[in-house]
Amino acid sequence: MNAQLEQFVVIFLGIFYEAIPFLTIGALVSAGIHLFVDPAWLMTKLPRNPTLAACIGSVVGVFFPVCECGSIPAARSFIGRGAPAQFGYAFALAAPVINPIVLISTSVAFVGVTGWGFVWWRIGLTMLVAILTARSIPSPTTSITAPPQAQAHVHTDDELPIVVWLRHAASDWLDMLRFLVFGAAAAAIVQVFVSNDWLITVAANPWYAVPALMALAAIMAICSTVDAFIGLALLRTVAPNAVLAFLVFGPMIDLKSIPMFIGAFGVRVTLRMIAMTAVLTAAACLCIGGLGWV
Amino acid sequence: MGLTIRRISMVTILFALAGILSFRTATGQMALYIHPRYELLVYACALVVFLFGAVSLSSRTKPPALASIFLLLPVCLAIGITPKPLGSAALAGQIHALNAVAPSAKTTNPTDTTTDRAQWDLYDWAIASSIDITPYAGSVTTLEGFVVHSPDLDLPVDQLMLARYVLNCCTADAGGVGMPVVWANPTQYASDTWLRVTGTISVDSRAGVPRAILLATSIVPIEQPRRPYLLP
Repeated sequence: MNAQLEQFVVIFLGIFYEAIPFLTIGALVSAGIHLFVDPAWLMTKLPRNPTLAACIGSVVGVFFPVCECGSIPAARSFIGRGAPAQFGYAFALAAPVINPIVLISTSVAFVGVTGWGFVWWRIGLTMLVAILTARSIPSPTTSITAPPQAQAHVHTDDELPIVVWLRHAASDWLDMLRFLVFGAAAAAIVQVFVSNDWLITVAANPWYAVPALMALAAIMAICSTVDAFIGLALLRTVAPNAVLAFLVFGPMIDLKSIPMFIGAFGVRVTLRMIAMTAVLTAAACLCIGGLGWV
Repeated sequence: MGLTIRRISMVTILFALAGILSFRTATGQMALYIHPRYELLVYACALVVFLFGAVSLSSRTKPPALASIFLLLPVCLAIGITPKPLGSAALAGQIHALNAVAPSAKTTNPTDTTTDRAQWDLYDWAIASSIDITPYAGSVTTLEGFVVHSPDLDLPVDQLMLARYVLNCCTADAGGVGMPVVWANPTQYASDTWLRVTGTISVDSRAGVPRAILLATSIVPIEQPRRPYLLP
């Protein structure tokens, strides 16, 4: 078989096998929210103020240790059950970083090398970008709901709750899976045909380093649970503020998650998310680098 | 009738995927794609996917048509193509990033002088080289890896590159580590041939920056290891 095709298959299946357990967790959580969270309770507990809702959404990830494969379907369920859209958007963007597994892996990777500062920058900047991005997107005019198959479920009283839960989860899972497969294939194709070497070369220039590393993060589509170790390796050749951009932007937006965002929130919201997160992350990291804060 | 066929197809694909996830993990082939730390998670996922298939059998709702088609891609690739790890061809796009490793990602400290350097792998030597290789000149070591021949490596005619991948998560983040090996006839070993090389570490300052090279005293072709990637 052609060497590039072989390489595509190995990378595609690697992304797929690694992501699918997290998508499954996300679908189970999403179905749990859909079935067991009372919309009236959500409406009373969450603030209707979009900024406050986005702030809360950006930290709820500490209770859901999943990457973007799990956070996107869960965010869709939150919004579908009555949570403010800004809460769901901020949760979807921030949860891949603001969760216990990623916070531990980032600390393990960086504290011994750069001290705690880098870890706090990652947490703070992720929350800030997620909140501002979520706040900038207006609430949808049409409701964001579970996939049609999940809504169309007809269940009888004699069905066990676990069966109903699994049916809903299966619908969510199948709905998001096509976007995961498409995104994984796109990421694998780009990795095979676009050499990372030129991006690393471009990143040697301090002005281009931030956007170059953001592009690299989007192309590599690495799971946020381990990207800190890749960032640490990059720190040897690339400026720290560019590595920070890699660690903030990558978990929010990558080739694998973009189709999933489109599936969950639509093209317009996704495009705004990409534009806002890219501009905010780049601006913040260039300022941080220029001021010598990392 | 159409709906029944679609449901049966969907359930078959789900059962096939659950089987693939379980089989690949049980046989160790999953380690060709992802870090072994995820194995338990993949087993649990296989069980849930199986349950998804089981509940879909009795579902009264229409399965999404596109989902079956998209799910067919990974299932067909997994069944139809013999599992292989990343090899020398994939290194071509990241030659300049070779040995760009993170020292603190390693659970052991390879620069600790009490560790047995004969047992160090290519990852340990890449970390040592990233700090200062000079104190390690003269160390005897045995390394395993696959052969890479590429003009981009710019190696002298008496050298071959012995390389391996370091895997943090999955094959999407695999980064290469490698060391040039000095041997009288390096072209006798084709790219992707797995070798066990014993020799003495020397320092090559040809490119301006000191880097480790291995003066080989013995080279033995070996089978590809069960776990071909090095793990932090």
